[in-house]
Amino acid sequence: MMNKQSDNPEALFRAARQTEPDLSDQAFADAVMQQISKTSANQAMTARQKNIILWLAATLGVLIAGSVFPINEIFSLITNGVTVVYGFLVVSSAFLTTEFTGFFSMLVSGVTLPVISFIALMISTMAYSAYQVVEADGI
Amino acid sequence: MLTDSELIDQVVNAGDSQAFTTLVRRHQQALRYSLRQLTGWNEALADDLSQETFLKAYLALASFKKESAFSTWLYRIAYNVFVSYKRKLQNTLDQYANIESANEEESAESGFNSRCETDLHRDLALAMQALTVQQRSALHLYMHRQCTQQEISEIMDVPLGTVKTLINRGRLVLQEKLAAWQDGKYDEQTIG
Repeated sequence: MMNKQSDNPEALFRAARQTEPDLSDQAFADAVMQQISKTSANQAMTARQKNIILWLAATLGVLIAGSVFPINEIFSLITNGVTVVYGFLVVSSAFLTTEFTGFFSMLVSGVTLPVISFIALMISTMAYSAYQVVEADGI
Repeated sequence: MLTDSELIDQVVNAGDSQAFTTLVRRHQQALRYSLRQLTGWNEALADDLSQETFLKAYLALASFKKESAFSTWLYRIAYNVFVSYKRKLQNTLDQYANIESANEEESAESGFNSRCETDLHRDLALAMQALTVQQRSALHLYMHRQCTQQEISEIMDVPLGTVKTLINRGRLVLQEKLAAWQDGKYDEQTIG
């Protein structure tokens, strides 16, 4: 009973604190978890779509780069090989997983593909140069 | 029984949603009550905001540094959710020439007077509508939740001095509101 004390905020809050109703409700908790799973699913779908777009763009970029700069057949072979393998990895992972973790993440991350392609380019160029030297020497 | 910290680890490291359900069950009571107090005992709105708070907490759980209690962090999210809601409402009201604002104030006022026979919590929540959002939040956290002023400063992201001012001014406004109520026709009635 707060009768004459109710103009005193302290007394009012104390009374409210002591008689705080129990609002615990399983239905509320279920609704929260349902909302969370729905949002998580939407986010996973968005992440998956993002992965697919990213990797399709990267694959296309490498293909275009390979056709614009056809340094030699070895390069094309390596580049196409890399592209095919990565393309397969990327698309399948993008469909199958929502998040990349650990080594797999590094393997299929957006940065790795151009780096690997660049290394492949270097190796193939060096190999081709070496082949030309050997051929010129007539060995 | 697992602590909040252990449950959070389970959610973050193992993706255990059941652990988060336990956190929701554990904290829903206090959070829903607090938001009812802030929203003028609007049960549906308070529950919507509570749900949004838990959702945001779940999505940001990995970023929780455990430098404060989980409940403090949760209140911080809830406060931001509530402030965002009020801001959106205000923008909408501005568009409609404050028609809704007037209605809202009117309903809060009439609710306060007409509900004096109902329970203490509802009356207190309605009386708190006379305060600004910041005063209301600070006063509730300080006087009801018994948070320290430092915790309130963290929750509301305002300096400690501002928290003290908000509490003092809020208390004065509330006292005036309650005194006016006592002096009125409900003088002899009880609210508890």
